[in-house]
Order: sequence, then structure tokens, then C-alpha cells
Amino acid sequence: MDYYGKDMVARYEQVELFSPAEYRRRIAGVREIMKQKNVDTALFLEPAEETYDHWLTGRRFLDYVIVPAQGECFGILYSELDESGCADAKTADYGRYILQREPYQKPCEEMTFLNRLPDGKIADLIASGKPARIGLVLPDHMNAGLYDAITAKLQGVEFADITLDVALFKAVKSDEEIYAIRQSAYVQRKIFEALPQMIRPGGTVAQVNKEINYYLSELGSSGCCHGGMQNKGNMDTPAVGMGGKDPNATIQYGDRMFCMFEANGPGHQHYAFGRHFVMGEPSPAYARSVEIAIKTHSYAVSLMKPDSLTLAQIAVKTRKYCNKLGYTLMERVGWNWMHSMGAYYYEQYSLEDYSEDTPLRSNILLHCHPVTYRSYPEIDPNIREDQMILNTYLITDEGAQDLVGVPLDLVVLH
Amino acid sequence: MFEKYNEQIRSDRHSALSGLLAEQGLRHVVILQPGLENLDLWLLGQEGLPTPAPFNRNSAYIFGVDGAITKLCQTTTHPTDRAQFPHFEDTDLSAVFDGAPVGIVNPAYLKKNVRDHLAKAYPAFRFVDVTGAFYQCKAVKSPAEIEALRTAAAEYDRLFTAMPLLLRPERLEKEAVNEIRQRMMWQGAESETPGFHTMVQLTSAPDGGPSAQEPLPWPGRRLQTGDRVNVSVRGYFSNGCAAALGRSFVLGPVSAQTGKDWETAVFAQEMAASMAKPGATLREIHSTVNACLAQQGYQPLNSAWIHGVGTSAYEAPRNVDATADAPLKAGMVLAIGPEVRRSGADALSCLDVFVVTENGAERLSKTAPDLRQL
Repeated sequence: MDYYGKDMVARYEQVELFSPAEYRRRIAGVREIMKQKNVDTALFLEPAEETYDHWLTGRRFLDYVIVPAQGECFGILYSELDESGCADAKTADYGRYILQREPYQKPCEEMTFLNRLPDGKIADLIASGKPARIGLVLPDHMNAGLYDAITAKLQGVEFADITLDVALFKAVKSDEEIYAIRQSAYVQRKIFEALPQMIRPGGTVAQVNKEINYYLSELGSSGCCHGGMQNKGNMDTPAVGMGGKDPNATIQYGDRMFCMFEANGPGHQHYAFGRHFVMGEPSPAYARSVEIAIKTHSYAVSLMKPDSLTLAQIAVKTRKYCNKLGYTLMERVGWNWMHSMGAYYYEQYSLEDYSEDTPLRSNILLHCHPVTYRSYPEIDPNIREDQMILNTYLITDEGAQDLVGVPLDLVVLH
Repeated sequence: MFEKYNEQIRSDRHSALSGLLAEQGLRHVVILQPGLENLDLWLLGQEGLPTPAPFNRNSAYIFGVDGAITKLCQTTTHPTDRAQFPHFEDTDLSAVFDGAPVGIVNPAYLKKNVRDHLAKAYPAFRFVDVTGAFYQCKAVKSPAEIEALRTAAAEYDRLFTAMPLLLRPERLEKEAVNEIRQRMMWQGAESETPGFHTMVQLTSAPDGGPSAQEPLPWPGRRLQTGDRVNVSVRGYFSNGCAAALGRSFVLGPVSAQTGKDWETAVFAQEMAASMAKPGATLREIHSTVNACLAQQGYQPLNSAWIHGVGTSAYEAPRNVDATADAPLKAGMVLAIGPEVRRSGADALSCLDVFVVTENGAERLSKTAPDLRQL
């Protein structure tokens, strides 16, 4: 991986793969939505949720992002980094922070970073553009004090919820974003391919996980970086709890394992996938349970087309398909088994969230992990064990395109 | 998720908080934005790592003098969290908002939707801001808390024994930082969020010179023989406590100037620690140390170099805000690491965690305050 010509973010955290033009594209997209919705200023109220912060500024963990219709935009640094707050609206005093001492580099000329300010000063900043109508992203997160300060300074100001429009615009990945996502997929694939060398009878899952995490970081992941195996125990006995066997227990022949990656890579874009492993030839019952998980997953993926079904509709159809196979799809409120990812492993589109009824679009990223159940009728008819395959796809006009290139099949180790 | 608690620490904290409420004539307090100073860990007496941001920002806790804790959320949570964090609207709080005043911590983070709901459901509700008093109370650690912080400090001592191994010429700074974080993971500290778990500041430069201006081109700077490497690590250990440790290393012979600067850094730290007695303020300590450094030709201190440590790696009191004027008390735990800088050079900082005692601050970490020649 060759990133010559690119700069490091925060000295050594990651490489900045996005150009100033890309950040300007995003700001311009928000401004276009603002024009359509007739708002003068966009206020991102919890930009760390769904990573609007990183998307607009290249930095994680901002309290607010303010995008006026014209002129300078502002990223307000996180309260948790400067818990006491600062009253200076002109600049960011990085000496107040114990971590970030060097100024945040601007992603483009249009964006400026400021210290966390009291609500009154934030309201002053917003009011300086004299907006008549403010577009809110994630309005549920509005602090009462900020609301009071804005409405006191801007008599008669109106608010409009522009969350869905901005989320859907953000969900469509640009060429630069797709390139960055592919870097994350490449990193995870490299490590995955080395797993048969790392997983050995007599070794432990803890040892494997140490290597996985080490290499995820070495190859460019920073921050949210989940990667690891679970040893679910012998393939024909019910799995031991959610996390599987003690990771320090030695791996035995007959054990089955699940390995999942969910991490960012160079460029800070997330990718995720997960596969099953078995030490020795799989039993028919175990192989069948993985096969059902793969079939259910693949069926859902076959429905992912732009301008066709919504995530909610795909979920209904997938459930029916699974039932026809004689199995059950997990029913749990909040199990959003299809969702997008970006600078974090969760963003819109998402099942069981506000975008689930919106038809899909081209160039969105969708992570898919429907859960089916394996049963053990000969042991206890009440036992139901989760089984799933995870993978992430780029939705194209031709349908879902796998970016990591690792088959969904069970990996048999000897 | 498996959750572990320290019952003694929880009991100590609840006692202190109940005492505060009694002083203020309150029966309940609402604690908002537990991301600040990791108030959720503090209140629950939880032995664990901080919740990764932003997941804890919109949680809220109601503590009653009877010790009952109610966990709520101020916003429509994400799909997988709804069962864990009921919204204010979905919870009967009539026993809390019964007309008596209710304390509130971090009122700036009260969401409009919650305020609107409270006004409608409990028209007589009234908050009393106890934020300042709460953080003062939190800043004083019980003996059990101090022992837990000592344990976390010892983990950082352990980490630093690996520095001579991992700081090698030809390694990238990025590789050294990754290894520091990985080693902390092996010791039981995760690093999901760079700012909130194991925070590493590492800069290298030829000894005597300043580090390169950022941004650095990919892949970043490679350590060289003759470099001076500053390493400060702040973060969390799995017992619910924060810690901090910082030292400098030279990959070769130490220049006379660097040796002198380091001695000054250690002297400045010791001066600050000796002044950190009950009744003193961080503002006084900051001024005195600054004056001493200025006399010797060093640049003024302009950073958050002395501050509280507890469930947060950066908590009250701090020298950069109004809590700089709050008198110190025995049992407060401080990170002290004045940054000694000559004009045109990088700062050197000997950073350790101390507990305030009647006779000055006592160091909790055991790593010798030496400049190491590797």
C-alpha cells in the first residue's frame, strides 16, 4: 500500500486519504440540500453519531458542525476533550487539551475548528449569519440551553429536520470513499488469509486475537478496531455463551470458531466481514447450519438493488425465505442486521432506523448479517444457537458487489 | 456484557454524594452527560473501561439518597440500545419530580425534548445546579479509590519497562505508538477510541532540536539513532481508573543541554508536588512554577499540565479553568507534568500521578524520574 504524497493525521494516527476537493464536495452537497429545503444554516447536533464529524472535517469527536449557506464552516471540538469549556470563539486553544496539542489540520479552507463554547457563544456564531431557517441534523440531540439561546438571538427563527436528506446523500459513496473502503477491505483480507497459519491445535484463540489486533493496527486501523475469533467449542455441542469458550483454552480438533473483522483502515473507513472456521472435517449437522446461514445471507443480498426494495421489505422477504427452508430468522427488536458503515461501523441506511423505508441507491455500502438458529433436538429441543455470516457490499446498478473477495464458505482447517 | 463493581468504592462514593445532597437539602440528583469525567463509571463503582464515545453522552442517571440509581436516556437511542436505556418519557419519575427541588449535574446538556417532557409531565419540577459542588466532591478520593489509582499507576510503570525495547532506531513513530497501545491491550486496556482509552503522545527529533512540523508526510517519522523521544501515555485501566506517565528517552548519548532541561523538568515537577498541599490552589502552583522557569530562561507554561485524575484522565481541578482557584484537599489525585521548553525546542515533561497529602503530593507511580539513554 503506497500512500506517498499523502499526509498523516495527528502525526501518526492514520493517513489522510481524502482530498480537500472531497471535503468540499461534501459541504457542497449539504448546501445543495439546504437550498432544496430552504434553510440558511445546517446545524449538526451530535455529529459523532453516524460520524458526520469525520465526514465533514476529517476529525472524529466534535460537539457540533455548523454549515452556513456561504462562507466559513465550523467544527466545535468535543466537550470530553476540553471538559471545562472555553469562551474564546475566535480560535481553538489546543493547550487546553491533554491529547491533541497540535492544531487540527483543516480538511479544506472552508472548515475551521473552535474550542467547545458555551451555548450562548454557539448561538452567537449561528446568529452571525442571520439565518431565518435552520436545518437540524439529529434534532433529538438539541440541548435546551442552545435552543433557548438561538431563539433568543433570532426571533422567529424556524427549524427544519434535514436529517434523512443529509444521511441519504452521505450514504452514497464517492470514488475517493470507495477507494478508502477498499483499503480497509484489503487490510482485513490480508489478515484473514493468514489465519490458517495462526490457528493451530494446542494454540489459543487469545494468541490468534493478539496477532489479529496487532496487524490491524500495523496495517492502518486506528481507534475503533474490532477483530477477533471466538471459539464456540465442539461443533456438535451447543456453544458456550455469547463469547464462546475461554479464549485461553487450547483449540482442539472438532472445535468450531467464528472470526469477525469490524475495523477501519488507512483513510478511516470501516469494513466488516465474518466467517466460520472448523478444526477438522465438519459434521453434517454443523455444515448444514452454516449452509443455512449462508443461504439466508445470500438471499438477502440478492435483493439489494438500487431503486428497488427497502431494507424493511428485504427483511420481510428474507424472513419468509428462511421459514421456507424450515428455519427461523432472529426476531429481536433492535437487531439491525443490515446497515451501512463509514467512518464508524454504523450509519444510514439501517434496518430498524429512520432510513429503513427508503429505497436503496447505487454506491451505498451495506453490511449484512442476518441471524438464523441452529438447534440441537437430540440434546435439548429448547436450545437455539445463533448462526450468521457477515459481509459488506457496495450496491451497484448490477446489484451487491462484495469488496473483500473472501468466499462465504466454511473454512476447514486440518 | 459482564460488569464488575468495586463495592467499597461504590459505597464510598455514594456516601459522599448522599452527604452532598443532604447538605443541599436534596433527595435526588440528575446526572447528565456522563461522558464528562466518565461519571457513569464513577456513580456505579464500575470496574471497567470507559464507554466508547459517543455512546454514553446521552445517558442520564438519577441518584437518590436511598442509594437507588435509575439509568435513562435523553434521546431516541439506536436500535440495539432501546431496551437498556429507557427514555425519560417511558419512565415514571413522579417519585423524583414530586415538587421538591432536584439537583442537576451538567445542566448545559439537558436536552430540549427532556425538558419539554418534564415540564408537561411534572409541571412543578425544579432543578438546582450542583455541578460545581459535585465535581469538588468527586475530586476527593477515598482510601479505596486511591489504592485503585495506585494499581492503575503501577500498570503504567509496567508498560514503561517495555519502552527501551520498543523505541528502536528505524521504527516509525506510528509503529512505536501502535505497540504501546497493543501492550496496554495485553495488560487489559482496550483502545477503541483514541481520545479515551490509551492516549499516546510521542514525538521524536534529533536530540536538542524541535520535532518536525505537522502534518508529516506518510508514513510519518522514523526514529533515528541520536533522537530524543518524548513519550506521554494517559488512559485507563480495566479497574475503572485512569493513569498517566511520561518520560523522555535518547537513542544515544544525551547532550548536555537535554540533560539540563530534563533536570529542570524534574525539578519543576517536584516543586509543584511539594506545593500541592491542602489549601493551595493550582493557580498558585502554576504561577510559582512558571516564575521559576522564566528565571531560568524557559518558555511560559501554557498547557493543562496539572489536573485531576480519577475515573477520567483529565478531571477537575485543572489549571486551565475556574477550578484552578479551588483549594486542594487531601485525597485529591493529580497528574503533574510541567512542560519545560526552551525557545525553538520541544518541551520535556516528567509526568506522574500524585496524591495530595498534608505534606505535599506523594507520587503514586514508581518509575524513576530519569532521562533514559537507550
